[in-house]
Amino acid sequence: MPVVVFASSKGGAGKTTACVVLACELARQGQDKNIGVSLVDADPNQHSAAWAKHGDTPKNIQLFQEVNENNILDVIEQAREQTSFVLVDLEGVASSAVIGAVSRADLVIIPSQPSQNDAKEAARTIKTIKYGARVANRNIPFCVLFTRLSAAIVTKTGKALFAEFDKAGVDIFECSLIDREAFRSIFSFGGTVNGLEADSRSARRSIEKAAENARLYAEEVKQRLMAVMRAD
Amino acid sequence: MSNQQRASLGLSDEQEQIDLEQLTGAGYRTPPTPEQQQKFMAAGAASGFISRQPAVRRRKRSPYNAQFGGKCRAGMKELFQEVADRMDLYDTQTLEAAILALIEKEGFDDLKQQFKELVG
Repeated sequence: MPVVVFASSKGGAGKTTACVVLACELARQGQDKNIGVSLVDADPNQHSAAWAKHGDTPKNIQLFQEVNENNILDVIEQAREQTSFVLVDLEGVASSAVIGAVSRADLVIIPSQPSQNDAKEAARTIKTIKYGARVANRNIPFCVLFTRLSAAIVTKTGKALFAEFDKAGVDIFECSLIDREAFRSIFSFGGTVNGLEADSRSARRSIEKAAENARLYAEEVKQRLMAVMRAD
Repeated sequence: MSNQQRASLGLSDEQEQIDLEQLTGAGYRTPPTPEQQQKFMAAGAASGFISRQPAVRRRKRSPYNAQFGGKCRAGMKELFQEVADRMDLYDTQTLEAAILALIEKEGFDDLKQQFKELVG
């Protein structure tokens, strides 16, 4: 069962948002097919867990909380046995818990805002994954996901960072996570983007755009997981 | 304006979706072997991805908070704390136990009474 790990040694890069949004979308698509999603929260801040406990969480999302470096490998195995998809939200530091989770990953998603500091830590995470994969002789697919992009403009820094990753041959998601209020709101109100209430027509449009963003992002994750499965 | 209709580019068509069930079969990748796991962890540690749990054992907090200043020989404080830890006592309790032991050894009965009044 696919294990998707969200890793970056930079805090605030968007790991939790990317993890929760994907969990919700996979759960939505799998709800009538008895397909479950494990949400493993291995970040001491426990933001994913707090969202899951807030209320209106899809019933086919199973939470594993307060996971740490001592039990992360066992929890991932347990989650793989219980649900069809396992998503792991990690702390934004360089730790053995991160490496443990990455070693078990079928896909590592490396969120990065279009900022130098985020990109630098993303690059550090990438180098570590590549080195570990080479030493262990095991392919660990990974991909950078740009987060909190402006809906209106592409910044110069963003363009430059994208170009640098591209030049280095780093795989980048075609779909980015746009900076949407809806992606913030789900942590205030709980539940999913699709379940948010709109108090105006413009709010409804904004929610619909976020939902479409989430859908396209999930589709790309599925395509990448399919490619991993076929390559093995 | 002409009544002819242009052919659609299909840009509004939904992107082809992959069925979740295609990804949930038993044919997915197997986990790494223990050897691969170990090598990966070692490589990560070499890159700075190390344990973030505190290595130093924290001593338990004491409810005694009146200051007792003083100097001692180098290393004596650590020796004293090791005695306290082995007896599973707070530092102050260890000090009091040592004071009582000396009082009894030296036969200072008046001080023993005073000690009992202090500790209750």
